[in-house]
Amino acid sequence: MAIKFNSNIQNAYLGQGKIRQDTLTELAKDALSINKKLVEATRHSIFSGAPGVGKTWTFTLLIKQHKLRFVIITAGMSEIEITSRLAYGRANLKKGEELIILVDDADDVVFDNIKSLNRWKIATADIDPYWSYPKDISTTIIKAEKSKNFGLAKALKSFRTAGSLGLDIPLDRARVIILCNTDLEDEKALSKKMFSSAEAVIDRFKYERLEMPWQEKWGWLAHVLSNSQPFEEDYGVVLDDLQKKELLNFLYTNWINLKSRHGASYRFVQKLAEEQVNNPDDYLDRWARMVK
Amino acid sequence: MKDPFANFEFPTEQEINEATRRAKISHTSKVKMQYDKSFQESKLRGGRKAGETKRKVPVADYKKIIMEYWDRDTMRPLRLNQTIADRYGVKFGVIDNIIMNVKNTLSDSEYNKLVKRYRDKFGGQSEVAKLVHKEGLRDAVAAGKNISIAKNTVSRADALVIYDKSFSCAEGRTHKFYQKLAKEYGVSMGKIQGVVNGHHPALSDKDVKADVRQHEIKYLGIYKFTSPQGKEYVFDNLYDLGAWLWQTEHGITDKTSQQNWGKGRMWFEQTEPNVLYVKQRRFWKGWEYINIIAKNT
Repeated sequence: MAIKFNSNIQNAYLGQGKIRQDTLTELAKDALSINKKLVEATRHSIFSGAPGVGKTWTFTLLIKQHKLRFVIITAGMSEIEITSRLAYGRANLKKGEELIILVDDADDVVFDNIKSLNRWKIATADIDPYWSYPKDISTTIIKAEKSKNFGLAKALKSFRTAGSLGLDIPLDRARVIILCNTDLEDEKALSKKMFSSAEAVIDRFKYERLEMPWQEKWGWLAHVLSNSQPFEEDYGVVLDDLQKKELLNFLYTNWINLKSRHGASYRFVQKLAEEQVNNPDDYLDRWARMVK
Repeated sequence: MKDPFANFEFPTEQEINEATRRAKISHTSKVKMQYDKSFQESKLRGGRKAGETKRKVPVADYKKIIMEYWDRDTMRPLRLNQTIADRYGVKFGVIDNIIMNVKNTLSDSEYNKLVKRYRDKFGGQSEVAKLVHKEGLRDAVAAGKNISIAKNTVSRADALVIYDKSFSCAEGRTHKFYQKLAKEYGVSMGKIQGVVNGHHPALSDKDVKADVRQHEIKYLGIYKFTSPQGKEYVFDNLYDLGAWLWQTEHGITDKTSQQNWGKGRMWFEQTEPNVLYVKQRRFWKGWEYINIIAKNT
């Protein structure tokens, strides 16, 4: 059910937000191979865009909706954690299935340095793509077995190569989707060396740069929030339309004062909503503290 | 499906790096630990012999060692510290420390006097270098005798000599003789084996098989066997003997004489001609065939 704002401009942007969301969903469906296509030049894709354009939100939603087998890799994960997740995901792949590797906030995971970039190059190569982990894996296997995590231990063991310490995970049945903030076509955003390497990477991915003015961003957030319940699934708490409208109006009027350079993301909206639910008496004060 | 990563604590980067380092170092040791029993035992004992406690140079001997090293009438031989270390069964670094008075065995003035006296008499490091030169140690390493050990090559002239030498005496075609040649010419054993088998550009016109056969006939004499059944067999070389053994086993085939030689040599090489070695285990097989043939014929 749609929310109606008092201002016509706001309503117009809300409409724009819906169109934006539909376009993004289509792009994401293409990337996830939900839309079956006759031919496909490259499986992997990169979605680049400032926070708040709905990358993560759309992809996680679609993955959940279509029950795809996936692995999420985010910034801050250690090398062994990434390797373990990939191994577990690949080992439990059923016949005919594809593994979606969603690399969220990839600016740190992939585009941090040449070394990590090259690893992902190998992982998405056309011929014989694999994820290689050269360090000792037995420590992790032992830990997994001790904590009765036999599934993980089995997965790690199955990719162990004879005569070496680590493991090689074949990624021929994987679809890598990289979500990042950096504009990879912007020379200033990357170092010179990284820029030339990144060009080669972009070449083997479908590259999509998502950019929009702040009003449209707000429109998208308004559309998403008006059609969803951020806390219903986990906590059973439902926001009513009045609450949503108040939140969105606050966001609209305070957008210039936001602390983040790129504007608000859906996560920020969730934070605002959290205050609204938890502190019904003084949430306005708390909101005021969250902006400049 | 239950999330396997929910409460799983991954090993830290430090733990993994440490494990990787350990695994890389001990790879050879692991292999040795599996197959080499003596290595296994010595590893458990920290490299010491059975029943041996940790080796130490007795403190009472420190002064004796210092004196042996510095207080001399003659110039000390090279690597004396290693010689002393071998005597006590310790690493030479231990002896080095003692002779440099690191353990404060002597007072500083006393020690300095001792060292000065030796150096005045025999000179310092340059004298040692001269000694190395005089004894030809470095030259020997660099040049071998005629051939550079570093290059491990045999010259054309040497190849011809080595080849001829191998046919010059009865034991010329044996492993032991090849070892001797290898030492003499300062090359590896494999090089010598190659040369005596004609694998050298200088030997391209040699017929090795014919030469070996002639050598057999000349030096190794006649092999005469009497089977337990009383039948007598006579062969003038190991080729023929090998061929006969092969045929008793497989019937007449078109196998090359090289294999015949192998068979004959395997069972009868280094046995004196005209002597029957029926008691040795390694010849039993040959006699089994002989028995079979005796029964059949």
